[in-house]
Amino acid sequence: MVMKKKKPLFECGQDWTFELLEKTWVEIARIADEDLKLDYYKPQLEVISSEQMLDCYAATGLPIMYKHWSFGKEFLRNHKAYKEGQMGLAYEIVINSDPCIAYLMEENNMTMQCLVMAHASAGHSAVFKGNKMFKQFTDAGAIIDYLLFAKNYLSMCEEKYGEAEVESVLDSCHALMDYGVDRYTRRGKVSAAEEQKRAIARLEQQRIDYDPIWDKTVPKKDASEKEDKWPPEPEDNILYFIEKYAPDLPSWKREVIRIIRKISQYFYPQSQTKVLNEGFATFTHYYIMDKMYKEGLITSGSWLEFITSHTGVVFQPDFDKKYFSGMNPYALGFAIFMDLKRMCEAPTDEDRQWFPSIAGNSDWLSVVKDAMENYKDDTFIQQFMSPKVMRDFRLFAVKDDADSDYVEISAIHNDQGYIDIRNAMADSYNRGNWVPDIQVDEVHVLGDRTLFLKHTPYLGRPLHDGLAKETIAHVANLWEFDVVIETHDDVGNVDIEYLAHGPKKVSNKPMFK
Amino acid sequence: MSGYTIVDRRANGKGKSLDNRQKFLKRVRESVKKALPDLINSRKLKDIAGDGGIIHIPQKNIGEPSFRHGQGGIRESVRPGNKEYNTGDRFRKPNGAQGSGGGKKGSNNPDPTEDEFTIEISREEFLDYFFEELELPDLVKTGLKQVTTTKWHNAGFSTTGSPAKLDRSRTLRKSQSRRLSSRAPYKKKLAEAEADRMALIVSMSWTEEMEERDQELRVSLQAQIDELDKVIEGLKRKIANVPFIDPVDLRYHSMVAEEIPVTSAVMVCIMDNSGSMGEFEKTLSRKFFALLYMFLARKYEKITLRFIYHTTYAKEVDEDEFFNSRESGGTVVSTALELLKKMLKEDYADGNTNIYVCQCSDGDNWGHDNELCKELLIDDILPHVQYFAYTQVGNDPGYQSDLWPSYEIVANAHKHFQMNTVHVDADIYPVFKELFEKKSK
Repeated sequence: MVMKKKKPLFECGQDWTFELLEKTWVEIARIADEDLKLDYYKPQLEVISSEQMLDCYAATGLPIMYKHWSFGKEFLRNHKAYKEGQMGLAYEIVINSDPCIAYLMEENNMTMQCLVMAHASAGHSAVFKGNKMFKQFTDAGAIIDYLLFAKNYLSMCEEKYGEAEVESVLDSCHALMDYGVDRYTRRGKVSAAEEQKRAIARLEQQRIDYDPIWDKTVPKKDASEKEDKWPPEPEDNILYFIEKYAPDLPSWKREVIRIIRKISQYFYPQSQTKVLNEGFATFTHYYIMDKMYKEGLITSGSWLEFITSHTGVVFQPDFDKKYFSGMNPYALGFAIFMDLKRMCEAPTDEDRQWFPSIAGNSDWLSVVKDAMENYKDDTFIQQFMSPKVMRDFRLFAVKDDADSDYVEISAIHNDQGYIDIRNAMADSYNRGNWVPDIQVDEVHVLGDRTLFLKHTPYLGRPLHDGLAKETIAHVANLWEFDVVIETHDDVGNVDIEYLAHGPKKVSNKPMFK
Repeated sequence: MSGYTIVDRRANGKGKSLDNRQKFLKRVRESVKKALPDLINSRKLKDIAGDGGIIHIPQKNIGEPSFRHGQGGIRESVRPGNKEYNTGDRFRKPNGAQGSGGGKKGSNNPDPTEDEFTIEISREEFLDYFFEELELPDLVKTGLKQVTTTKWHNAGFSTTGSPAKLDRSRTLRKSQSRRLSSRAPYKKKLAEAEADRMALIVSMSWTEEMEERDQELRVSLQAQIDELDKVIEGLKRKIANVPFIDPVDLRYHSMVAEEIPVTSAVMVCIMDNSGSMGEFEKTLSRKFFALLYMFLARKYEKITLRFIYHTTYAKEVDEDEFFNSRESGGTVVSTALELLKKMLKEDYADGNTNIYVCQCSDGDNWGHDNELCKELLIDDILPHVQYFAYTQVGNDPGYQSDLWPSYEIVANAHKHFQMNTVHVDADIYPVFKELFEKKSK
């Protein structure tokens, strides 16, 4: 299709100006709206210096964050790596917020700023707004205000209760960040306090009804009738549980826990959609820059610079290369999205066999957008990774059984291996892979208030010993009484694995008034 | 979608991370302090004293733990870049190594594999932590006043100065370079002009045989030659006008004043170099003194250090010899104390200097000497010093040395005489700390 060539917005290597940024964004938005029909949050483009970029990095990109030493460590680590040339500062940091804040480094030239805008403010922003994980777990409009509240609240606590005290709580909360997310909607109903009252009442009644003669003459019922366990259902949001039910915690500490919980919740979808998010943003920037080039809005020099940068970003080193550090989410995500488009526009027989509804589909855009909106990393890969992508990356699956002396190649990129590879790859993005399944099982409410956590091993994997010991100490720090981790394996054996003593001993008060 | 905002945040301060960095360093400080005794034990002391810029901080205090899986179970991971493997290929795991589960995690795992975390602390910062709670006691006399004298020394060249300070050769060199560069363009033009002129003259000579009607040519050529002559004249004048010497060429020797402080504190280090001190004991005392040296160098820049070592005779030496000497011999401790007494009388008789003494020995002494040492201390030395620290080195904790009982008598009577023993490397730092713990609040 012959397009009428327009005048380039800027030359290759040209510096940016605010006016150019505006003009360029207008064109990017036009293509995003018309061609890609993207729905994204209104962009807020912020120009910052590279030092400020380092600050951003350390604070996970959020413009406001509470103070903690771990961010200082991150800052120093990045600062050192950047100083030593080991790390180029990413040119994109973008925040899931409404308006969507994206940072532009002042050192970038206009071509790079154009790329960042397309990638972040069109691509990522569309994912933030459209993907169901984000819709379910985050409130983009409220996060910045909430962070402001959080930061001020924590500062106030520091002043009132001392830095050390606050740091201790924060450290422990950070250790449990992964266990602070409500992944499933809570079942409303009887509040746990009410539930507890009932359990105590029942026990009281049993005590009143106790008749020694009856007890000693009538054969006892099966001992498997346990008294009511509390909580009745296991709770996987450990931070939530502690916040609500820690017997003796002052309310400011509960509020701190709540804050960390909320922030952890905010970040949860991002951890589950790395491949999808980066893949889609890269796909978007690629389409937009390419279109701009075809329309003559950027020069071939700019286009070349863009392609060089883009190629670097989606580069996937082989497993045996020095720089290999896992699958590059940009590479994988971009490959899958581009492949979806290809399958629609130029399907092969293999495509028709594997993806009958996608191959030859006349509307690639809706296919791509459906993938972006309704999936997360593991389901995205499970659903959409095609044999061609597997061949392009020459993927192979390695099985490592701890009980065996050998590792085994369990699948390679051939007909017999595609399904296995896809399953294994999808599974590796499953959260259960790297966050052990640990839930609140029981609390001895009438006893010593010990918190029993239940660990259900994933595929036979034990907990990392050293880390478990350190982390359980943090749990005890928050719960303030003893904490135990029991491992329940799949044949019903229960093993006490770890025990940590809390700072407090039980008094004779009941747990709930 | 219309609507956008562009904001310039560069004016907003950077250093949002300053607070966080401070918090982190505070935490690190505890780590560093805890790591110190171990650092002394290993030979790293020298490295730190040398030029150690990067200190390794062990993970403990700055790790961020969370529940994670350990080794074990079944893992199936997918890698890119297969070259020659086939389904079913098996590889023996290396002994004791982890399987493929190990370090390469799925990239949506937010925790990077953490090797030992290293941060860069400058040597100064490190030594600051190290010596934070230590100080020289009773720094009372006249305090460490910063009395200074001025000394002049050469510091390169300047374009101004007095005629006596003129550096002639340098000036002439500058002048030559100026002349070269100033004249160069004119000379170039001159060469061109003269070449042109020559060309014209040659053309002129060819026209000699011309007839009358070509006289015009001759005239114009002549005119051009005349023009050129003028230009050449001008150029030559310009060249001649470049001055031989110009004020811009002048160079003078430059002098700079340096302030040299007159110290009002002295630390005298006495080491027993005799044969009874084995390699082990000598190393211990050397480490002790190295620590002392670093401490003083760090905290009291303007302190003078004097070194005495002794066998059967005492000798004042410089730092190098003190630490590296291989001498050996018998032991007569009093010789060192005699030398010290002499030093006090000769150099510090005015009573304006804070004097500290640190003695290291294994306690062995020539039998009759102990009484003498005791007397020297009580009569001649202790009255004049702020603090005397005696450290007995030796790896036998039960050892009753010759010197010890005599010194004990002194210690009991004098508060500013402290005795301690060091048996192993690990003792050095605690003993050092005890000797120099901050007593003031």
